[in-house]
Amino acid sequence: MPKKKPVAVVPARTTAPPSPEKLARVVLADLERDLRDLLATDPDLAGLTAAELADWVAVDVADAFAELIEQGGES
Amino acid sequence: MRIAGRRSVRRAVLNRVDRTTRPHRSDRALLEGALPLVADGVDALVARVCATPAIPERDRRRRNSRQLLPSDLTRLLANPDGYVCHRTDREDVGTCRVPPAIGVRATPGVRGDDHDGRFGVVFPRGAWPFSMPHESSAEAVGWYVREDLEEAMRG
Repeated sequence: MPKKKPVAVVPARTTAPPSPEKLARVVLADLERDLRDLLATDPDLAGLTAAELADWVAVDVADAFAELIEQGGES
Repeated sequence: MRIAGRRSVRRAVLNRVDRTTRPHRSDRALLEGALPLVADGVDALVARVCATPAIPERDRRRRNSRQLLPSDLTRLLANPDGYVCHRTDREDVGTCRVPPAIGVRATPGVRGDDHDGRFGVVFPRGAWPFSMPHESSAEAVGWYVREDLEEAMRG
């Protein structure tokens, strides 16, 4: 009977979820890129102040996450 | 135009948050943990975005992408409360190639009035002070030379 070669069992690769800090950094970096592009190209945003933009983005970030968290809770 | 602008921003933010968090849609704890961190970073993010000229101007004078020219400084000077400034004579620090040492002085505003250094490095106010050098490197809005600040202040 031929010798059976031992077979190494390689555990399935699992990707650990990012930390909240890591996820937040990625969201902020992506958002910064998108907003730069938007400010550079959208004429409707001409004259917008930093304070106004910060207020808008703060509200929209809160709303976006609230909706996702609510949906995530239901899944 | 204002309503259209508001819609543009909202659409951009909602789409971005949705796309970037999509792989973690079912991880409620992760999303709940990330939300306050993202919220805390908004002011600094907007400060950096607004410091960048919307339309790139002829930048033959820019030594690197973070240099703030008089037109950039004019915009920042209109909103000084959002920034702090570290003035220095050190070229490596002053041109954002090396982060400032921990504990160096920064003054509110863009002008760095307490020091007449050749260079000024501007940070979002909420981001200062830093506990690690790499934080300041990432957070700097940009840098300027004294002559360009003087030109911007002349108007």
